[in-house]
Amino acid sequence: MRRTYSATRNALLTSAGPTWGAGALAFAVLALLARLIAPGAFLYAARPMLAIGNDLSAAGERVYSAFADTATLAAKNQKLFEENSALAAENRALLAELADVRGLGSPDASAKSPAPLIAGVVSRPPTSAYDTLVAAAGRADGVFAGMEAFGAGGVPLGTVSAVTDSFSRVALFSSPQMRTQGWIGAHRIPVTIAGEGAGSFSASVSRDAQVAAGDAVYVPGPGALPIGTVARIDGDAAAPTETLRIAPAVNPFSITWVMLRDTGATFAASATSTP
Amino acid sequence: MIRGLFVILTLASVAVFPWPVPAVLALSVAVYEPLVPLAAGLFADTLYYAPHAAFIPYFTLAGLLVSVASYLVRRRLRAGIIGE
Repeated sequence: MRRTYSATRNALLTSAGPTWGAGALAFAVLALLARLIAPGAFLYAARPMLAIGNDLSAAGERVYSAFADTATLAAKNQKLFEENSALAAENRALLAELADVRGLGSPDASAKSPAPLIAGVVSRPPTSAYDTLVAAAGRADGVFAGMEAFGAGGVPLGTVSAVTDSFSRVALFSSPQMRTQGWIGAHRIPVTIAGEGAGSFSASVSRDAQVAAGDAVYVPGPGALPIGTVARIDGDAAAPTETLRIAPAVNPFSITWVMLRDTGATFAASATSTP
Repeated sequence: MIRGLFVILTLASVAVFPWPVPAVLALSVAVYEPLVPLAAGLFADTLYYAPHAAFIPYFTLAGLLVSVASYLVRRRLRAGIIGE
């Protein structure tokens, strides 16, 4: 019987000439070479596309929230308004207290540390995979690997893991491979906070620790800095430990700027300055 | 030409959409173009991979696996039906 096809035919290159797939792979390899050889120029070239991604994800979030129940949104809005008022009052009180302390001539730690850098965010989750940020500040601006990134309100977000002349990549604490030491609750129970992606975290604690939903989670910085709150507690009643699901204090999907500062508390020694 | 548009759309979606969108597109295009999942995965890691965020470039590996699977399927089935 006559064969209608060849068993040895190359299934990757289906036609006589180059295929679209081969072209796509060539493009990807060229992009990789560009990142390795000229990482700064590569990010400059990719920046318009990444900006479109940010705009699309923001627009998608607006459309999604438009379908939410209006009564729930109103209740949430009221709760946020009340929390905001309380926080503003607390902030004023703390600022007044700080002014009093400075007036007494106490040493000011912040005066000794170098000024933090504010950097715009070029790419962020959910478009950016791995829960990473690309910040528009690099070596030329004084950024170096190991600096810590903070969001609005001084919330710790992650660590600078790679730097080019004009850009830097920040691995968020919520990246799937990140493990951060921190504390939970008013009693400062020590835990290892594991990144779960999409801004969320998890931690495992002993059932005897008596952690409750709503407890704040802290990481070291200048003092204990809140990184999120316990949203849910999972676990078998018979198990000695329970898993905490932690919601972030800052939504990584809406980060538009970060503050970069050297805290000296992170993995500066192991971080790289490669692209 | 439609095939080419889908390939370009897959690569562009890596930069502008969350990863599930290019993943679905790459899986769809893999039926006709086995190299596209590998290309999309490599491009995603080129754009977003950062040290400490992941031990290995997962998207490249996932793309490679899908490309190999697509290659094997095309090799076993009649390529004339799928690709022509």
